[in-house]
Amino acid sequence: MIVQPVLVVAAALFSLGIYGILVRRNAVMVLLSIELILNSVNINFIMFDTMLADVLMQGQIFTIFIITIAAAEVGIGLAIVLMLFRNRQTANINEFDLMKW
Amino acid sequence: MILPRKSKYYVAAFALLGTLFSLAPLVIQWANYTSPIYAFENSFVVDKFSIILKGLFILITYLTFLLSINFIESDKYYQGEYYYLLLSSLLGALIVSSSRDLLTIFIGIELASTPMFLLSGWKKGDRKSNEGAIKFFLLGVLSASLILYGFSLLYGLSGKLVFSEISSHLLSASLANSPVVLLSAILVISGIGFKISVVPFHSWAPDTYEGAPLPVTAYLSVSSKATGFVALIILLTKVFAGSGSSWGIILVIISGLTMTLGNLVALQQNNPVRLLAYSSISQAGFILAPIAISGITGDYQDGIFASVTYLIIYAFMNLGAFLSVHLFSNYAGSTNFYEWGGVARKSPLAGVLTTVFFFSLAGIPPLGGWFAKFVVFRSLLGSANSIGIALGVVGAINAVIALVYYARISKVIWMDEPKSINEEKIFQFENPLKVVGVFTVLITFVSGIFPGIFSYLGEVSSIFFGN
Amino acid sequence: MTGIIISLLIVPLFSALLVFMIPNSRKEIFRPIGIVFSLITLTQCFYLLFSDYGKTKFVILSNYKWIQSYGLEISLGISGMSTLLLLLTSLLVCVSLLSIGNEHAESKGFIGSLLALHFAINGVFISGDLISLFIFFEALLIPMYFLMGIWGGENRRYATIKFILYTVFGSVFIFIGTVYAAVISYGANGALAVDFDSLASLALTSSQSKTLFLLFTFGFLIKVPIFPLHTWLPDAHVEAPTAGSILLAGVLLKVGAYGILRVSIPFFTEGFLAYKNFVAVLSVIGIIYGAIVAIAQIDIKKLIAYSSVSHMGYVMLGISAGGYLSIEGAIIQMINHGITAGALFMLVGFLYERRHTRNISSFGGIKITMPRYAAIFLFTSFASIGLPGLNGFVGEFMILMGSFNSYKFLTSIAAFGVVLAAIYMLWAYQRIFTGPISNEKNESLKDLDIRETLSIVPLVLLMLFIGIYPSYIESFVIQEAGFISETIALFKDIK
Repeated sequence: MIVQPVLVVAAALFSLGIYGILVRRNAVMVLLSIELILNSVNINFIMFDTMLADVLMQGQIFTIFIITIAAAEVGIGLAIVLMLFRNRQTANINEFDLMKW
Repeated sequence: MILPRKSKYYVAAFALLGTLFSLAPLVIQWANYTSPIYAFENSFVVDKFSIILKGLFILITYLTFLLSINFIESDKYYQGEYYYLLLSSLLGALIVSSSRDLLTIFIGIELASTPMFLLSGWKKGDRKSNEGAIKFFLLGVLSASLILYGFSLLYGLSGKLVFSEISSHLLSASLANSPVVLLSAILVISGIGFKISVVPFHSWAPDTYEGAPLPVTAYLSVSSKATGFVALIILLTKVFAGSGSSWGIILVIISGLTMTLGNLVALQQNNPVRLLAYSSISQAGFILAPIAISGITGDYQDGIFASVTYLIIYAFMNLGAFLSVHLFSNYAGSTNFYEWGGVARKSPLAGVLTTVFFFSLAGIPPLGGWFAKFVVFRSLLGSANSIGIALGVVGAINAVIALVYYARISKVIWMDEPKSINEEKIFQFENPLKVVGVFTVLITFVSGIFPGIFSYLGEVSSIFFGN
Repeated sequence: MTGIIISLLIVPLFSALLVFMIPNSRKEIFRPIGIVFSLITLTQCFYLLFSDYGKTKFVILSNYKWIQSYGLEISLGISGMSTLLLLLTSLLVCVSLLSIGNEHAESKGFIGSLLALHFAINGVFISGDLISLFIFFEALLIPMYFLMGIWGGENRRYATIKFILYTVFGSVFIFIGTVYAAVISYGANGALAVDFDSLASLALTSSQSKTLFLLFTFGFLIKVPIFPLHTWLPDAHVEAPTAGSILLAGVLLKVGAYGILRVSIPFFTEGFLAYKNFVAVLSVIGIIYGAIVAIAQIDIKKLIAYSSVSHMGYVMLGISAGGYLSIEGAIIQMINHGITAGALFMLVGFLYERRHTRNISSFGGIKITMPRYAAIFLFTSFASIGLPGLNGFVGEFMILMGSFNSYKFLTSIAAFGVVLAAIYMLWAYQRIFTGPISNEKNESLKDLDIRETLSIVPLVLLMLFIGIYPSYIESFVIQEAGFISETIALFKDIK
């Protein structure tokens, strides 16, 4: 079974997600980057599950939980972004600088 | 949520009663306790350690409800959802304190923090609140994904989710110090680091605290932080126990940085909420210190005892401190505490409460804070380890710095000249708030004067570590 | 006996709570309540003085389990030195309650804080272990904070914060020392026993002893205060209300010296021997520096504050010389300075209530309008200078005699402090009281009334009594001074 390439893809997705969080300035894009990380985790879990031939399929179950929670979080996140957008007509996180130190 | 607007009053009462009644099963569990009870394939446990923590979480939530009643009624907020979300967060905290596998602890952490994203943005029209919420949300989700990635590595190594099986597998395959486990530990520490707002993962805390409604801020700085610490303690000692010497060093550095940076920035604050935010960052450094050292020495029992003792005392005195800030900022209508001159003379009760909480945070006996500091320093110096002693010295210096800003607030409220605009206002000190004040002050005094009650916790943490 | 000791804590605490309970409408009874309860404490102290424990070295009389799993106990005890200091505290609380003007006497918070302060100070002098010593040591800051911060003078905020910060900075070291000692004791006994008996039996290595000595002594020296850590004292004295100044000078400064005699020297003797010369040099600098700066002061309270730096320098010189006579002298000087400095601050307070200024230049010739006041002031000044026949002489003479063998040069310099003291006290007296009345506001000054006279007379009588009959007060501290100096001598022999 091909294990390593899949793990590399997951790791790459993870790094891409981190990069996106650091570089992207639009709140929605940052949200998407976080989704990338979560998906890399999902790939990891499923790969390990298959690799270890886990009878309990714990990895896959975990993945389902992650998907559910991620959906909930994106819902909340979009709500917050929407609220922000209504109040200040922008979703650029560089402009959120009312408070410093 | 389903009640009509007029009868929203019942929601608060129902939430209060519900939280109070949920203490009952805890008492029964405590009274009938013989040995730890496991459920769901060893993934959920009821032992004395978790019972104590659950009691703490429930009490904090109860006090937060009391803090909220007037606040929520005064503005046009959604009452039903407010209580519902706080209760969900409480449920998450309760799950965390009992969890013994990766999935349960993850769900617990998420359940505890997700509602807080919404609550921190509860003041919908307020830009600061929006901003705090988005920062909190983005970093919160990021931290969750970091924790998850760490978990996935652990699962890949061992093929197990239950802590006891993972750690025994890591031990038997002598993987405890392998790079992958270390990477996973670092990811978990940085993920939870966001929740407990330690340097360098603290940047969201002051903004979110400032933006959120004050009771929510109090809850965030006490209960959410405590949840994070409990999760960290459980993970580090149950899963990563074998690789303590590696994460010990990391945590020592984080702890020292957290104390120092939090304190130094707190010195320059004029907004009381931000001041408390930075002060609670620095307090987190103190809570972290014993666990960090226990990683190096391997004496987890002592580390857990010291950290949890500090956590419990901190929880109540910090809640009290937020109560005082809430009272005075409502009265003076200003978020700059230098304008609170002489407000304590308007309500000596509130003034004395404030002084007690802030002096206790500074660690002046006979208030509770001193015992917390005592336990932590004893653990650091008792480690007979040069790193521990060095951290102790850093802590001692910080204890002095902290006094400057803690004393400053009580100086302003007692000694500065009253502002003329404040003269005619009426000082509002509602009854639910009085209950919170008196209750937290009692705990602060009792834990300072009769710290013997915490010796029970020492025994409990030995049981916790024994299984 | 245990009951008496515990009631030394309970009575002031109860009276403080009682004062807080009484509604503000009955404000005329705050002062009587305070006086009655401090008289009760005073009686108890007299009882202790004439009991078996009035002349002994420190004896632990009662233990209470406090934190079982740590083996931590609260120990309370008593000794000759403690009894004398307790007596001084109760007396000063009592007379300062009597002396304060109505503005303070009718304030619930003021009287309550004063009584709470009394409680905490009593606690320091009877605690028999490091933990309770530390707790009471810190606890006395809280009432002091309110006394100075709320009822203080113009610049009270700065002074209060400075006072608190200096003291807490020191007590962090005491705290670390306490924890360190507890950890060492845990290694030896299996329990965190830090009561004075277990500390005495602890075998410390040389470096441990030195570290602990430095930690504790640094904290205590700030409180004494020794040069160059004294800068909080003038500010605190000037800004504190009269009653606060009386207790600050009379008792709080002694807490530092008491801690050194009680903890630093007997338990960490090796550290003491290593660093005592350093302490001695600093104290002599303090004696001369305090006296010279006092000469230059124009504020009477500041003058007395600097004179306190100088007088406490003698105490520290006597302690660091470490001989039997010098330590005995240091203890007696502590008591004497408590009486005279307390009396001087009270007298300045009387003047301040009348004229609302403490500037020396705004007085002059008031001997004509206030003859009784002038006489008492002159008498107290003589006692402070150390005129033979009055109390100040006894302590300073013993200290100088006792230290001469160890530090010939330093002691000779320190002796000049007496001359300087005569200069600043008498010059100040001359400027305030003699000559013609220079300021017309002073023409209508009233002399002391009965209440004020009553509150100062006990102190004046004590100055005379100790001056004439020093061997009486000496008899209470002989054993304790002997014990401390023997500990030092024994250790020297072992070396």
